[in-house]
Amino acid sequence: MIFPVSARALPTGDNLFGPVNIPIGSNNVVLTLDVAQLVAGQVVNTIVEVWDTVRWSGFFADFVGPGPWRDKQGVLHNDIALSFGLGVRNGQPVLSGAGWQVRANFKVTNGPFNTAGGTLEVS
Amino acid sequence: MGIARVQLNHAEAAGFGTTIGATLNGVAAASLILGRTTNDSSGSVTVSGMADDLAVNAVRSGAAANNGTLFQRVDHWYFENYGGGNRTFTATYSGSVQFRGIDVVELSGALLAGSAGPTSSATGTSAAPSSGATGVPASDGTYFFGTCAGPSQPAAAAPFGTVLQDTNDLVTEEEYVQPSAAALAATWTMTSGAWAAIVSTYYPAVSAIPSGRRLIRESFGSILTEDNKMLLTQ
Repeated sequence: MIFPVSARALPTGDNLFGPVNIPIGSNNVVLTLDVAQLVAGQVVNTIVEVWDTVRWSGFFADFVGPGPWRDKQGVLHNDIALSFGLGVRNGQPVLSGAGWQVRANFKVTNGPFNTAGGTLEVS
Repeated sequence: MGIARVQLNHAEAAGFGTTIGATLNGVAAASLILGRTTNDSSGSVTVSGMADDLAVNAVRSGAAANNGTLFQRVDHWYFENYGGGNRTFTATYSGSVQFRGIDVVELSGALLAGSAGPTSSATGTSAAPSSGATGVPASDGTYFFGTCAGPSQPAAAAPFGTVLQDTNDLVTEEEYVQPSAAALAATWTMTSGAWAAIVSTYYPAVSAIPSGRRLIRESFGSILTEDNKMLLTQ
C-alpha cells in the first residue's frame, strides 16, 4: 500500500506524517521524499517508526543538502529513500499484525524546506 | 547447540547524510550482536563508530573493506555478552556520505568473552568477489559472517547462505557455520566490476563443542579436546 506524502514547505523542527495503518502481513517499508530543493546547510532528519501494538520502533537517517545525488550508475536522483524491513526472527520474516501503524517525522534544520512530496510504501 | 541467528534488521538510505540507524526489539541477555555498516568512500569520510542507545560502543571486527574505485566501504562490528532489551543502533559518519546502510543481527549460542575470531577483507574487480581466507579459527562451529558491496547485486556462493540484500547500495550479506576449524573465504558471484568484501568470525559457547570431542583439560583460559586441538584462547 502506498501513502502519498503531499508537496509542502516543511518548517524548522518536527513535521509529522501519519500514523497510518499498515496492511496485515507487511514486511517492508520504503519512504521516498523529493529533495531537489534541499540546499546546502539544510538537513532533514527522517525518522520512520512502526507501532506493533506494544511500542514504536524507529529507523532513521539524516539527509544533508544539497539534495540531488547520483547512484552507483551515475544517474542523478531528486528523491531520497529510506528503506527498511520489519526484520527476520528465527528464520521467518516479521509480518505486521492487526493494529500495526507507521508514522514518519521529518525533522528539519534551517527550514523551511520545500519538497515536492513523496510516498510511504508498505508491502 | 551452536551459534544461531535469532533476528536481524536493517536500513539503507539513498542520498547524502551523516547517520543511519535501526532497531532490534526483545534482544535476549548475553547475546552477541553483529553490525554491518556501509558508506561511500570517495572522499575522506569514514564511519566513525557504531553505538546503541545506551551509548555502548561496538567493537570493530578487523579492517574495513574499502574500495576507492567503487566508492564503497564495508565495516563489521560486534557487541559481545550484550545486555539485551529493545535497542536502537546508530552508525555515525565523520561527514556527509552516501550509500549508507546498517544491519544489526542478534546471535545466540556465542561465547560471552573472546567471541571474535579471525577476519579478512579484500577489494577487486572480478566477477567472483572473495574476502580472502581468514586465519584458522580456534573452534569448531565458528560462525562466518560475510558482506560484499558491488556495482551490481552480488549473490551468495556456497557454502554460504544469503542473510539479506540491500538494493540501494548493492550489498549482499551471507553466513555459514563451519563444522570444522579451518580457514575459509567468503565468496560471491556477480557481474564483474569494483567490489569490496569482508568476512568476520565468531566463536560458539563451550557447550557448542560437537559431541564426540570430549573436553579433557582446562587450564589458564585454554580448553583442549582429547585430540589436543585448542578450541579457545582467552
